[in-house]
Amino acid sequence: MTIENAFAFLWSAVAIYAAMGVVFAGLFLTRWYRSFDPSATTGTWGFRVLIGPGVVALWPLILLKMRLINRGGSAQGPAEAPVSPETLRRRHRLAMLVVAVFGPVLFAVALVWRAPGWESAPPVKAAAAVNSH
Amino acid sequence: MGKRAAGQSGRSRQLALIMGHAYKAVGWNRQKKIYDCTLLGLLLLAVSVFGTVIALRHPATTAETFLIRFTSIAAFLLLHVILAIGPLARLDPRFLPLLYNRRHLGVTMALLALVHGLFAIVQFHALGDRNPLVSVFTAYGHDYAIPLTNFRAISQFPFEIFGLCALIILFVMAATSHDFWLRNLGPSIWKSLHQLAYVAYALLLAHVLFGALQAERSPVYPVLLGLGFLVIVGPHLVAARKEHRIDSMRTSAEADGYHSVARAADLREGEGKVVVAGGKRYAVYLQDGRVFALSNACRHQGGPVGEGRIVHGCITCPWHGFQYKAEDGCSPPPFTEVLPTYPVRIIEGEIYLSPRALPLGRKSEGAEWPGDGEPRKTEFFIGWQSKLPVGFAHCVRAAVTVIAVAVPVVMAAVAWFQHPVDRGVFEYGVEREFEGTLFEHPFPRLRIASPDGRQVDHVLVGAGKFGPPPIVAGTNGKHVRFHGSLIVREPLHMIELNRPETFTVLDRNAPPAASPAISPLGEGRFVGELVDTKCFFGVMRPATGKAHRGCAIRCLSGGIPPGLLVRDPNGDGIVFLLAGHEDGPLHYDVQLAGTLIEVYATLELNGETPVLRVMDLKPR
Repeated sequence: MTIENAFAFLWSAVAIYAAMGVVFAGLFLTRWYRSFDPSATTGTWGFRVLIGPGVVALWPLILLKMRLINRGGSAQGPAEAPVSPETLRRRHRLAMLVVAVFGPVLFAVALVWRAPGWESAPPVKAAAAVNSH
Repeated sequence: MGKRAAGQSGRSRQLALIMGHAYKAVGWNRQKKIYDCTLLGLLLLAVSVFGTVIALRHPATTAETFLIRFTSIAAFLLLHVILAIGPLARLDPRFLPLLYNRRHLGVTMALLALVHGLFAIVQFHALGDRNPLVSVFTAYGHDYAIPLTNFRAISQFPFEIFGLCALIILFVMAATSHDFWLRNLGPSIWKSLHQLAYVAYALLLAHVLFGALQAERSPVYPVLLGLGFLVIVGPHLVAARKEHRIDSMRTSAEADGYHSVARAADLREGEGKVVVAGGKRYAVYLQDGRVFALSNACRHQGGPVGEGRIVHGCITCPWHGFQYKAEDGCSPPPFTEVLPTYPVRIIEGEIYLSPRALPLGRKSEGAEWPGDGEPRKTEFFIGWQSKLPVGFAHCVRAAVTVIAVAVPVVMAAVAWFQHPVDRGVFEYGVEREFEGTLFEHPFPRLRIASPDGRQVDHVLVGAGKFGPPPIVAGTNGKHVRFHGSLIVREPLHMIELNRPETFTVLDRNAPPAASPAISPLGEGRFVGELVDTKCFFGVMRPATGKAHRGCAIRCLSGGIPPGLLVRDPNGDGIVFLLAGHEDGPLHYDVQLAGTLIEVYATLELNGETPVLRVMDLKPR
């Protein structure tokens, strides 16, 4: 399989995933959303349109949660779990340190070995003959 | 608005919008309207300044190029503002009003990035011989191995892949920015997902450094990018240091598990205080002469509850105004959020806190405060209140003024110092009838007699990113007529034969006309950029450099005649069309498009067209 075939296959898979997401979103946003989240029961149309792209992108996650609800669970389970600010802060700090260190490295690499343009090429004397013609 | 919220007071209604029991598209309030109007005003200012400078300085810029460039710069600028707000608000709470509606900035930025991405993919990769989405990844083939094989050529690393990955992250973040997702993904997952903004920034930095900055030569670009980097990294590092200091505070536990966390005298009635016990943060409040301790992480987005105030009898988170009762951590009805509460005691003026939480929602007596409660007089911002406190308003006005000055300056500088846009004219959508003698070698072209009696060669190409259609084969030296669109970059001419069904051979039985005269001009080595002639003649602006490289690869792969863009002694660019030596085929790697190459060839004037008969071609 060539790399082009591999990517063509990948995009086909993404297209199928997105198409299934669109169908799922159509059903979810017109029927199933009420049983999924009580707060969505009285949600406006605008709200449903706004969450549409997310439903298309994350439809397997919603499907899993809907199965959980059908088995007597709650979709909002994780919402009750506390945020761990310490973990988030640590991750935040780490992300910023990585950016702070690798950012200048990226700058240096990209600018030191900058691609030469045609303007930097030696002039072609024969071009004068073509121009004068 | 849901039924439960319908009969509530104004404050409760505002709270209902954010504390989530009736979803709306946007929980509008005065602050959000002001916020969004300001954002819209700044975007209009940006597009006006950018458009004016482009119109004056680079009038040849096409609408697509304008759109691609404006959306990219506007989105990247917005990302800088978005990322800088967080640490600024940690360092000075008066920046909190900027944080309050940040998700609208994020969604706007993602939409701008999406427009940029879609237009760039269509412009540079569509209408060719590959699926444009596949082409984005595969056009550059072996260049992905450059860091391993030829590090000095690292600048040729495909930059589109960085942008596409960033776009996917930004799309997912924008798509999940509604409170519905916060509630159903859970705050931890949601926050983790949205911390990917830093990954997106790093990817976009690489996208710009290995893309636009390889084509743009002005030092203004790296300087602006470096300043942007400092604007993001600087406040983050200062804020991280401040936070680290708080997290590093050590407390020792008593035998019964209580930690000494603060002096009781440090508390003020109605004001929260963040304390640390056992490496974790807690919120301590003094209300009606009693001290209470709660979790410092708001149930909404993990905001610092201890930095809030007591408003209308409830502890209020400074980030989005979520409220809790001090004695049991419960949100006021009808809301259901509950914060864990912790036992506290005060001995000899010292507050002790046990990190072992009380049962969720159980009422706590708190601890009696030994002093006189002084009402808090400092200002406090809550987004759902209609007016900003004076101090906050001054700070926000100053910040918006700085942004309103910086945006036009950056936009004007970026537009002004752009590399001159390639000239040329493409009569897109204009169909003309052409009649002349067709010559197939070394590449299909039509000789048309001009009104002044000269014979002008017009190179033939097909629609989109394709070479001339097969119908021209076998018509060498014949008089033909067809409809197409003209492409001119003086003194070079080209015709897009986009209506092959109109192609007619007028003298099928006549003997073929003699080929144009060939004037040899010499043999030697030529160094220049490998370009696709269709874009260079006037279809694309820019038609050269790294930003256009993907398009050039697709065009050459689709059969557009290649050209070598060289520098003449005056420093101007001139293009020679490339052909095989002695009418043989021209062998070359289309992935060299947009890069410097070196050819050993014979230069000739074939009719009026400068042609290099290539004997050897290699990357420079």
